[in-house]
Amino acid sequence: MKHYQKLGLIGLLSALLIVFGCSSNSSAPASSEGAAAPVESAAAGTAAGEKLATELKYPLAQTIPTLDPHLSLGGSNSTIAVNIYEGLFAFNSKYEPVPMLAESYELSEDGKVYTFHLRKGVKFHNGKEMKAEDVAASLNRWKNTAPRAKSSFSDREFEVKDDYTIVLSSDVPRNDTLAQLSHVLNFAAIMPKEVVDAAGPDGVTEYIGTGPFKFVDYKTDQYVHVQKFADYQPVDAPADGFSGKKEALVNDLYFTLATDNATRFSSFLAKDFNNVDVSLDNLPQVESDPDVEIIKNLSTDFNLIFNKKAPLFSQLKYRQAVASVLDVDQVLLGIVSTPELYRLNPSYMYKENTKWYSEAGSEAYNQKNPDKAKQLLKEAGYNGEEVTLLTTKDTGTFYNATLMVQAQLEQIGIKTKIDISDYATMLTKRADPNGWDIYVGPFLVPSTPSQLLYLNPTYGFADDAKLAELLEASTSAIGDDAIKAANDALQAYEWEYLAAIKIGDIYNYNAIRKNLVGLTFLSNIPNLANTKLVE
Amino acid sequence: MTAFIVKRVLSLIPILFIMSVIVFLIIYLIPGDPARVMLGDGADEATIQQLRANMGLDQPLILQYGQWMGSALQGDLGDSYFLKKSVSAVIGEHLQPTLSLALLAELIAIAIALPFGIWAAVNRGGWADKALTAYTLLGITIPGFLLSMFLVLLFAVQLKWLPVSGYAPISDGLWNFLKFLILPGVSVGVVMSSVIARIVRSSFLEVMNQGYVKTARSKGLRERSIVYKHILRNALIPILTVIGGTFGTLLAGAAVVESIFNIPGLGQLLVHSVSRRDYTVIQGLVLFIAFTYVLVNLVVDLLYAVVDPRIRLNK
Repeated sequence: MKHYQKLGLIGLLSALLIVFGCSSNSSAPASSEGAAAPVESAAAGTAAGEKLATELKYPLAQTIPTLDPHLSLGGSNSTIAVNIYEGLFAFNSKYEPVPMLAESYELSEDGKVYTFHLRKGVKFHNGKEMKAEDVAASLNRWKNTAPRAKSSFSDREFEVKDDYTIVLSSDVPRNDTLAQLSHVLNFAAIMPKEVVDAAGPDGVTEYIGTGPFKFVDYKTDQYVHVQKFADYQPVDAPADGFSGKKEALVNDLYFTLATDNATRFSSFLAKDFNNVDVSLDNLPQVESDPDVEIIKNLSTDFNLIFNKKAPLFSQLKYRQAVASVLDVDQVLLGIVSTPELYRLNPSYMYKENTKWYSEAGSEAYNQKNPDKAKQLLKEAGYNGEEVTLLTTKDTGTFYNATLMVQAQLEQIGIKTKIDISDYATMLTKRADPNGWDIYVGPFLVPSTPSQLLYLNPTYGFADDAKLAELLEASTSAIGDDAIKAANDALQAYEWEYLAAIKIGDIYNYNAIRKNLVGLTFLSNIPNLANTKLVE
Repeated sequence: MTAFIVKRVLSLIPILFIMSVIVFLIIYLIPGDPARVMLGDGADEATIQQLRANMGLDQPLILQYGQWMGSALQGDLGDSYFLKKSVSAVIGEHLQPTLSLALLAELIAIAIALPFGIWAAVNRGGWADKALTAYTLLGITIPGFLLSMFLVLLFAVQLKWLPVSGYAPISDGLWNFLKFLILPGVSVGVVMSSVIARIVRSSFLEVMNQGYVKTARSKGLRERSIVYKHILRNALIPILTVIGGTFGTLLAGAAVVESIFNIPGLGQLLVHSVSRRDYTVIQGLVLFIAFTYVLVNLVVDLLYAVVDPRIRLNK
C-alpha cells in the first residue's frame, strides 16, 4: 500500500511539472504552415477572379535587437519598420527623395530653412490624425538617437509652425536633409507624440505609425505579426522604391525568424516561405524550378577600415602600402565565390545614386602592386610588427574577406594575426583604439557622404581636419554643380587620406516563387506593400 | 521521505549561489555589452555610454551582483534588456516548447531503447545483439544536426508529411502541436535511445545471471514473466539513472535541434541571449537550468525507492 502511495506522489510531481510547463501557454500564434484560406480580393491591382492568400510569411535571417526604428537599424529592423512606419520623404529606386507624409516643401534661397507642409487626414494606427507636433517630436528624437543623422542635425531642431507645417532651420545650408529623412537605414519614422514622450532610454513601448500595416504582436524570437491597416491613406503616385502608392495586399504579414540558413532554405522548398536568400551552393536546387524566379539584389559594399590610432596605421605610408597591394577581385571572390555576385566600384556610393556617385581619386583603387607596397613599407621603416585583423564568424562573410586580405598582406611581408570573436565582442573590441589594426566588413550603403560611418571619428578614429572640412563642404554646397565639385573633392581626398579602402559591391541571390507578385527591394530591404500572394 | 526531500531542496541553496557567482563573473568578464548590441554597428560612444548607464551597467561589478542577488532572493530575476519582459516571464514562455520536446524525445527514446535493449540482452551474441551494437554506434556517432537535416529533407521537403520547422502550443490543437515536434523529437530521441539501450542491455545481462533468475527458471516460470517481473525490475536502477540524466540534459534545452527546427525553447533562448549579451536572461536561465537538473535528480532518487523498496531514503 505504502508502495502505491509513493508511486502516486511521484506521479503527482511529474504531472505538476507538466502542468507548470503548459500553463505558460501563450495566445495562439499563427500556425507556421502555409497560407490560410484564400479570399476573393476586390483590391485594386488585382486581376479579376484572382485568389489571393490572406497571410504571408517573410523569413528573417537575424534576430531583432529592438523594434524601435529610431534606436537601431540593422536589416531585420528596417525590414519590419518600413511596413509600420513612414517618414516625411521616401526614396525612389534612384535614391531620390520623394514626399511621403509631406505634401510639399520649400527651401529658402540661401538653403538654410526648410518648410515642410504635411499631408492632411493621415491617420496613425491608433486612429489619431498625424499633425505637426507628432512630426516634430518624432524627428527631434530621431536626430538625437540615429547614428547616421547626428552629425547633420546636431545644431538643428524641427519646429512646429502650425498644425500642418514644420520648419527646420540652420546656420549653414544642408543639402543632405531630404536624403537623411528618406533613407530606410536611418529611418526618420513618424510616430505619435505621446509614444515619443513615453519612450524610455531603451526604446518606445508602443509601435504605432502611419504605414500600410499595423503592429499586432511580437512573439519573442519567433515572429513579428503585422496586419493590414484599414484606414491607410496612400499617396497618389506610382510606386517606385519605397515612394509612391502603397497598398497592403495581404491581411496578415508574419516576419518569421529563421536564423539557420539550411532551415530557411528547406522551409522555402517546402513552400512555407515564398521567398528566400539563396547561397551559391543551394542555387542549383531552385534554378531549374519553373515556378521560381532568381533575382540578384545589390546587398552591401565591403570596406577595409584602418584603426587610425594604431601605432602603424596612424601613419599614412602604412595605409598606402595596404592600398597598393590590394587585389580587390581576389577579396571579393573570396567573399561571394563567383564573379556573378560582385562588381568593382571605387566610389563610396552606389552607381545608382547618381547625385553622389563619384570616381574621383579612383587611381588608388585596386592597384595590385606588391612592389610599390613593399617600397612603401621600407620607407615607413616596417620592422616585422604584428598587424591584428579583427573579425567575426557569427554572421555574413566578414571572416572570408579578412582571410583574403590577410593573404595579400602576408605577400608583402606584413606579419598578421586574425582576432576572431563573436559579433558582440567584436563590436566592443573595435570601439577600443588599442588592440586592433584592420577591420574588413560589409556596410549598408547610405545615400549621402554625411552618413558614412567611417568618415566620422567614432568609427576607426578618423581624425583629420581637412577630411572634416571637405565633408562639411560637400553637405553645405548649393546647386548640382557645386555639390558635384565638393563631392569629387571629398572623395579624391579620401583616397589620399585612406580612412577606409573601398573593396567593392556585392550582390546576393534571392529565390522568389512566381505567385509572390510585386515584391521589390531597395538597399536589400524588401517593400512588402503592394506584394500579393496568388493562390 | 519528507525529511529527505527537504534536505535535498535545501542543498540546492549553495549550488544555486555558487552557480550564480560563476555565471555572473563569466558573463561580465567577457567583452561585449548589451547596449552596444542594441544600438548596432556605428552607434557613437556617447549614446552607448548613456544607455549603459541607464541599464545600470556602469556600476561596480560587486554592486551590480548585490542588487541582482537582492531581488533574486525576493523571487525577482530582473527584466530582459531586449525583450522588455521579466526574466521569469521569458523563461516561462520558452519552457513549454522545451518541456514538450523533452517529454516526446524521452518517450521515443524509451520506446526504442527498452524493447531493443531487452531483446539484445535476451539474445546475447545473436543477430539482435549485433543489430543493437550497430544501431547504438550509429546513434552515438551521427551528429544530431545531420540526422535532423536528413529527416527534414525526407519528411518535410520531399514527402511533405510534416512541417520543416516552427512550433505551435498545445492550445492550437493536439495535431498542430505534435506535427511540429515529431521530427525534432525523433532526431533527439534516436540519439538518446542509443545511449539508453546500451545501459538496458548491460544492466539486463548483469541481472540475468543472478541466482534468483536461475531459481525462477528452475521453478518453471514462463520466460515472459521472468524477463518482465524479475529481471526488468531489478535492472531498472541504472536505467532510471541514465533516463533521468538524459531528461535533465534535454530540459536545459537542445540548443542545436531547437535552432534547426526553429523551436522557441530554452536552448534557443540561451544562444540568442548570449549573442546579444542579455545578462539578466542568461543568469536567470542558468539558475533555472541548475534548479531543474537538481529537481530531476531528486525525482530519480525518489523513484529508486519505489523500484527497490530495500532502498531507504532517510538513511
